[in-house]
Amino acid sequence: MNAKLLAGALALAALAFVAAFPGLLAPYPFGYADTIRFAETEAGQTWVYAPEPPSEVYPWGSDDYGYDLMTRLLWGLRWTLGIVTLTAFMRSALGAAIGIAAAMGGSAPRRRSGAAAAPLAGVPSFVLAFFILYPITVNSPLGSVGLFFVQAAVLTAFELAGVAGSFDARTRALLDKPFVTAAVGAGADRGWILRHHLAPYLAEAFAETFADQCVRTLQFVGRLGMFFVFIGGTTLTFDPPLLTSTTGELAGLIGLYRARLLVNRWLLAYPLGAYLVIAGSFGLFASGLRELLKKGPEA
Amino acid sequence: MKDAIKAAARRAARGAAAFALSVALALLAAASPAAFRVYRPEPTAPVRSSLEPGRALKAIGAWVSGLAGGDGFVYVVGQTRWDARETMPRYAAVSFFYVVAPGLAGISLGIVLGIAGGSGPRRRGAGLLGRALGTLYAVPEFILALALQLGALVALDALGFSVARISSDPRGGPVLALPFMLMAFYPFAFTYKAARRRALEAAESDYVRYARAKGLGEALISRRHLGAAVIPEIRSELPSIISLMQGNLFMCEYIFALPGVTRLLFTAAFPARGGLARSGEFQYPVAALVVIACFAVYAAAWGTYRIALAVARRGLSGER
Repeated sequence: MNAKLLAGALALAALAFVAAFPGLLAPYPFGYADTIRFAETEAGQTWVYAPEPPSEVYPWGSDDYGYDLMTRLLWGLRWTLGIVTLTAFMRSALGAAIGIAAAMGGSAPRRRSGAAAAPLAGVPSFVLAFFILYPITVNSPLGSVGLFFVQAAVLTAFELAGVAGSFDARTRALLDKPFVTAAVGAGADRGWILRHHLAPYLAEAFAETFADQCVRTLQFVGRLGMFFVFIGGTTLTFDPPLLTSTTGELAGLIGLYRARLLVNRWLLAYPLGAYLVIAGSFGLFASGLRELLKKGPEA
Repeated sequence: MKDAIKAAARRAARGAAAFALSVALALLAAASPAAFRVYRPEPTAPVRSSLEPGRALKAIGAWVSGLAGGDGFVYVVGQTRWDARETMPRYAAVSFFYVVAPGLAGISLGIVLGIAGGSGPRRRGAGLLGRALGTLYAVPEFILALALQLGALVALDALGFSVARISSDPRGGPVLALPFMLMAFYPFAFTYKAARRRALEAAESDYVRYARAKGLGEALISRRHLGAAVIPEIRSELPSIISLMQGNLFMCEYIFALPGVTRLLFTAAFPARGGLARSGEFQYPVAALVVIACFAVYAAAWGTYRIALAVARRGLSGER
């Protein structure tokens, strides 16, 4: 195991622990809010209003509604990690199944001309996902958990073709190897070839694809968050009309607070920092895994 | 000859069909918000939404039938009615500028530095640059955009004067340094990597060794031999580069408030007033026209890049 993979795996394990037990680290209970409080200062007693900058009372500051930002981020982490790992796993598993089936079924490989334009790229996939997800995410009747699974399914569908194509190509390359040809000549059936000759190699490809898709999904979720499509739901209120994240999912908080560059910068800075830590952890893990698989397990 | 013409015609027909299908699919996806009705059953009740797929089809039908009479081009922002035939070309021009100008700057720089890094004594430095660019390239564009804005504001606080505008306004015009830099960075990093890889391969090839043995100078070899090898590589990567830029365009126009065509989607299509955070009817005509304009910008950018690369190849290699 190389240093990158070890660092990434340790960081992800730590993040998973925090996501599983946010109450152990959060300074306040889930849902606690204090929009106004009475404080003792050197100048005497005074009223303090939300949002408050980082202090001993609120380590990462509080938001407009008096929620402690650290508590909100720690509880929101499970939504971020959940959508990333579930979507990446479903994309990898479905993509592998479709790709392997296409290659073993003997269908003609997809031809791609390198210099040709890719017309569907005229509108990026996150925009198409936005069209579909925005109406079901805002004030969703599905509830946060139900919506989470619907969002994961929609996100899985995007970029699934690319993953399937990759597995298709890898499987075809393996099927052309001499040891597979020899096994076919000796009378091995498709099930045998899949289990004994393809699976060991494709398992590595699956691990690599899963790690890469984690990184890509995190970016995808971040982009959607910039346009108020939050994982677990967006709450739209009228009078005044406001959009907010129902779950406090991290990428969503960046989108929510991106306009806070001029005032109350901590509201953007901490979610941004948390997002970068998660992105860095997944990135290290994926890069380390790629290096390990390229060099072989003894590296 | 006839076979070649037939094959080219078949390719063109396939391309046109794929393009038309893509536009149709995107127009269909763009109608999905119309399938949901957001409402409050009573003035004090919580907001609800219901799925009514017929509304989406109705929106598409109304838009298509309104195109002939001009109603399909009309949209409302606030209390003002706008005609997309007048406004859309201006928005599209801004988008086209931000896809093409920074892209060409980034690609040109990437090719020049990639070739320089793939030959001669600067390989070590080029490797370090490649790793640094690779790390930055992995950062999503919206994070870099926010970091650039934050950096400009921190610089303003520290220096007391503005080093860069963080968003577009009517007085300052639509050309901003920060989104230009951001739009140029990703094609630059992508092109640098591809150009350096190809230049390294070409530098070891027989024809380059032969040229060196004949006594040709390194500058000439870089230009005529490596340059001629790198340009086709970049041309084959154009779909990836432009799709990357189309995605970045949405984010740049939104974050830097550029008056481009993609921003219109989020400021005008969804609500009657003030963007995503407002209530109101979804305006499918705006979404549909934005989608079509995006495809037009994509096609125009693709053509422009192809011409620019062809000219660059001729300029570098001296081929006629």
